[in-house]
Amino acid sequence: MIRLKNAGKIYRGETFETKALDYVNLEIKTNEFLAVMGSSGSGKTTLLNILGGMDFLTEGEYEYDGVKINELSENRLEKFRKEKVAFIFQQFALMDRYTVFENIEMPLLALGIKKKERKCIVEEHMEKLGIAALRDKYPPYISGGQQQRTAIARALAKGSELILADEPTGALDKKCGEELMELFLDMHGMKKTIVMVTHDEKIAGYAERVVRVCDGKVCS
Amino acid sequence: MRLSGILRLAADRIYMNRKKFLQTVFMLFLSFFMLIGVLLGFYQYNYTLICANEVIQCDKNRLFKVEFKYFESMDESNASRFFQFMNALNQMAGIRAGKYEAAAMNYQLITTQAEEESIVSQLEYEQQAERGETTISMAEFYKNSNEADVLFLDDAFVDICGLSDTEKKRISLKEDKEYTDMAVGYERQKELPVGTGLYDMFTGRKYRVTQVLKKESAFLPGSLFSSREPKLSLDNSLVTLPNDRWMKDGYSSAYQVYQNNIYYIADEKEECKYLAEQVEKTAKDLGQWVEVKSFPGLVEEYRKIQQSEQVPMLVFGLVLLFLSVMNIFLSTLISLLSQKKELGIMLACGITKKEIYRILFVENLLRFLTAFCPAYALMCFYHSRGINNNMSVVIRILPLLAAILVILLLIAAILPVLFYRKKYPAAFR
Repeated sequence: MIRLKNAGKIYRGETFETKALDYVNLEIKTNEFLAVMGSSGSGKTTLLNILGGMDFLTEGEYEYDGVKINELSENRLEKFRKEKVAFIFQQFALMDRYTVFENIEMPLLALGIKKKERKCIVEEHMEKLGIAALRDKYPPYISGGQQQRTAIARALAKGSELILADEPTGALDKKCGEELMELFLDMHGMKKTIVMVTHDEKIAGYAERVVRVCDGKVCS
Repeated sequence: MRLSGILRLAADRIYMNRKKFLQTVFMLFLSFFMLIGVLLGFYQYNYTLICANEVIQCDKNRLFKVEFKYFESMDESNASRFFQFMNALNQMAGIRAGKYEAAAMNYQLITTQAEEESIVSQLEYEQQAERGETTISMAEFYKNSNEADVLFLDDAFVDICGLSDTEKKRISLKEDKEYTDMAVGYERQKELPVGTGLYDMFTGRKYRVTQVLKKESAFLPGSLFSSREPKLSLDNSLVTLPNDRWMKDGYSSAYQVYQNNIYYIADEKEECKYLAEQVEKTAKDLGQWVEVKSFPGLVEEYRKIQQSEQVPMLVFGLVLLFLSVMNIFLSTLISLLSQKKELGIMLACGITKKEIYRILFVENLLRFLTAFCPAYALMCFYHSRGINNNMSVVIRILPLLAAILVILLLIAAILPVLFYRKKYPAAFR
């Protein structure tokens, strides 16, 4: 169970102050597939970063399975990120200088999994996502759909409970986007909690529940 | 993350930024090379001062003992001047030239078969020389004889060769026998195989090679245990004028030869002052350049020469080192800034900041070692070819170098870490 209570995030610069999240209260059940919708700059990505432990709250509380994430030390926060969370980004966030295989392998390296085991896991997920043939290709030389599959394979290979997707279909055409959503539904079937940020109504329709964010607040 | 993972990611980074890596390695290599050179120079300087304590034992009439580790590192011209000087001293002291020349070659390698015969012919020749009946020099005589290959040894060779106490114990000199047991360095075993007899024509002592020292002793400085080819000509051989019985009641003064100059270093004793005056006078008569100095005066002068040579090199080395470290620091920082996205992805993949810093540390460590090892090896090689080639010096400076290496590594690798310490992963994207 994920719980945000009066969560606030303010970005402060020398001459400005921006309220990205404004007293957000949100509960996400375990194994739920949630879509977060909102216009650009509404605070969707900030919300996702907070949920993934990539950023910190300036106000309020963030609780994950009863653990107050906003009170964790940096080391424990990193542990939380390493073990519990997987990210899928709009621009795929693949490392151009690593092959598809190596990209998928990266979180497994972080988890300290042995080489043999890593190879099995990566190959299994590449197979599952239909990108086995791209093993030694570099991301810039494969299509957007294939890149996003690689990113999903990377997120799945990690075996995390919580998958955070930031506009996963944003850089894909309609057909690829739909294919991708099928994969998300498969992931959901694997008992994963998915939080997906999107501003596409149709894509959001794949989720069990849709939450709308306007000006840093949860509207509905 | 496992160590293998960290090593792999560090290796990946090096491979991906190989041009920059090689550039910084090259700069560091130059810096280390100079720094090691300077440190060796300073240590060498200490070593030379120790050598400067070598003494000539003398009385008012005769020069009777020279001990020098130093001499074996002389070049030919120095050696030649040394001999001329010695000869002049010798003449001054009233020792006949022929005798001195024989003294210069005072230990002769004689095969057991030809031993007695050779001694007789040698003594006969000396007597002829004394009567002025000889037509060829002693050197020529030796060269023409079967015993031309002369190795100069004396019963104090263990000191000359700078053996450690442990190694000294390995050499047992049993003087109650007709032949005294002696040991030779590993590299000399071909020239002096076990069983070879040696005869000291001054003391009349006979030696027999009974032992070959372990291989490591080849690295010790000194003639007998040197790993280098022996120099067998008269002009550049190791020479000692022994022996123990002449040492009684002797007066001492220090003698040093360096930088193509010859110094006779007088201490404060009246006898030495007298000898110094005589040396100056004789040298002047013979057209030799001799300068008499006090030992502290020589040390001071030597220190100044060393400093004037080494300080600019040290400054240049340190400047280059500073630039190299700055280069590494900035390149690490720039690579962190330019790979912000990549680092963000790594963090999103679960790699912690600490692990990223470890990767950077390993990368820098490899960079330093890749530069340091060849620089150290090259400087060792260079050092082994130079004068005062005491290889223990290069080992002695290792802890200091290691400390410098660690400090530089920390400066180069930790500053970027401090720079990024407080940033949250979201800031990397």
